[in-house]
Amino acid sequence: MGVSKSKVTALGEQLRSGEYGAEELSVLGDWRRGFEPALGEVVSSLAALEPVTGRSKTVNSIVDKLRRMPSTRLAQIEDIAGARMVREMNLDQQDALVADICEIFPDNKVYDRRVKPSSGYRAVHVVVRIGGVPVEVQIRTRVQDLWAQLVESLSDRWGQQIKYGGPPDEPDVPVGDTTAGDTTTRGAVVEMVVQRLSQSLRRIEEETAQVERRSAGLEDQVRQAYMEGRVEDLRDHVENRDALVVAQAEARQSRAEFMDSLIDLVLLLQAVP
Amino acid sequence: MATFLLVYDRARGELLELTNLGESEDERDSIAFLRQEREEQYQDMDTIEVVVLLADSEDALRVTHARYFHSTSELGRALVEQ
Repeated sequence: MGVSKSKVTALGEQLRSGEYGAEELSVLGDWRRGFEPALGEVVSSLAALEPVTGRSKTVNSIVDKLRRMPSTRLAQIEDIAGARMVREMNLDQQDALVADICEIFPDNKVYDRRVKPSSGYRAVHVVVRIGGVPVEVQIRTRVQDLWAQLVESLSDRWGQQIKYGGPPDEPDVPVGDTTAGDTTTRGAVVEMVVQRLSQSLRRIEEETAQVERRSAGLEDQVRQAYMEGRVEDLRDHVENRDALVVAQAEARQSRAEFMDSLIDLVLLLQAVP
Repeated sequence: MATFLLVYDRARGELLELTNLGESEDERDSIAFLRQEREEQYQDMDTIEVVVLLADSEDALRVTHARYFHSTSELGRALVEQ
């Protein structure tokens, strides 16, 4: 990529130690530019599946990552170049989009971070290789993305460690309306967002996908039974449909209750810049 | 696909600069130069983030990188309204 392997390794150590200046930033810039053709190709190839955007990693996040992972060399970081796609979709549609991306880029590795969320973060990442150069494609539902953006935003204000499951800087600082005595602490807000909010959103996305799956399956069965004149089966399907209507109502109710409970959190967040 | 340069103050939640650098492949050198110039300018301020993004439009950026454009509270509200 225009910069020798040993120079990249040395550069990584300088960034990790914080001892770098204009010269090191120039070498980093040259090395990072080596990822641009691959990133451009990925973003252009996915343009039809918009919205998609691409970025090469910022100096701050490269340094943060090297410090967080002391045994990782700069050249081992797989997300120097990254693309992101965010859509209103359910979990099944997200799976279908991932499958489409894997078909476009056969040299790929899928990391389903919905299965084992790390510090509450859920998404699917696909690392594709273009001529050996890795580009990480993040595929997020709108809900997964808004949660991730919220946590990024809290990390920007109260400490980058929040993204990785750590407590905020000064966790006991009160948040909220101190004159009304209606306060909690930074630590409690972060716990609420990173733990409880992530888990609740996960449950809601899974329930929604399940109900939509059942609904689609039932429609198929009814259509098939009707075409084949199977009256008894049709009767069963009507009963199933009634059960499904109840499940849909329960899912809606649980979502509405959860969203109501979030209003307090939103009020607290008004105190954050 | 256009290239955008953003300078963001993480501590204050403020977008200090948003420049559309155009779509020309010929501009790669000047984009790299501008990026490095900003990185050097803010090197001692670790709450300042200098980022270069590729996107069809600013609207696409606002979807995939919402935190550069909205406060923490606005992001929370958007989640509730989902």
